[in-house]
Amino acid sequence: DAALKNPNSRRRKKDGIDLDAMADTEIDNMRTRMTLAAKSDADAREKGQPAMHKLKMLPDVVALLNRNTIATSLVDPDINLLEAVRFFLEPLSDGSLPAYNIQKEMFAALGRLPIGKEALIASGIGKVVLFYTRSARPEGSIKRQAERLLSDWMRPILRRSDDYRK
Amino acid sequence: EMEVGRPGRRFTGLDGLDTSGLDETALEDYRAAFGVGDEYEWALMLQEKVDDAQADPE
Repeated sequence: DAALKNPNSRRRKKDGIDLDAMADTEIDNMRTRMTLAAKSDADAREKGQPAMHKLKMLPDVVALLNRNTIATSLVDPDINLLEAVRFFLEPLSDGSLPAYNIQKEMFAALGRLPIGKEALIASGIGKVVLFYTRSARPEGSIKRQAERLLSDWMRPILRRSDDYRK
Repeated sequence: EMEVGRPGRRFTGLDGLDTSGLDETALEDYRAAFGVGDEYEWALMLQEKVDDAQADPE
């Protein structure tokens, strides 16, 4: 039987539990690493040292965020990887923005992910994206992406209710 | 050389949005997802302070 199985075929469905659990663990580990990196950068900044932890792990973060097959887990409000993305995008304690590369990669990833209401509420990512539209600091392309994301995310939430049963 | 006024328009959350016809649940969801607009006010104030100092070093 094993010989009949195509090793390249999608096995997620067949062995769904295992693969999904593995992805969840991987995402959870990344969330922890990202949170620690954000904290380490904040500490370094306080001491007047260069803050490189987020930048250093950026390629790993991008590689994970680009994995379309686990998009649902990436935005799962219980795992809450998006909260760590928020930590990456938040202004630093002196009000300055994180490195442009971090902004660019995180906004690009946010534009690709299927982010719904529950994920927004759990992560607070909408709050920091709103901040990018209000600040004068981000480059034009980043601001435009922030505005587009907000309008995409707000639309379903602010949808006029036609349910009068309540 | 630098623009003196605050550049660009600002999204200020629910300000400027037509909220008529929205039920309370939608507004609650909105606030839970996007905040009340002052979450990063401290950073905006710090940024403006720096910008003002650069625009007028005296």
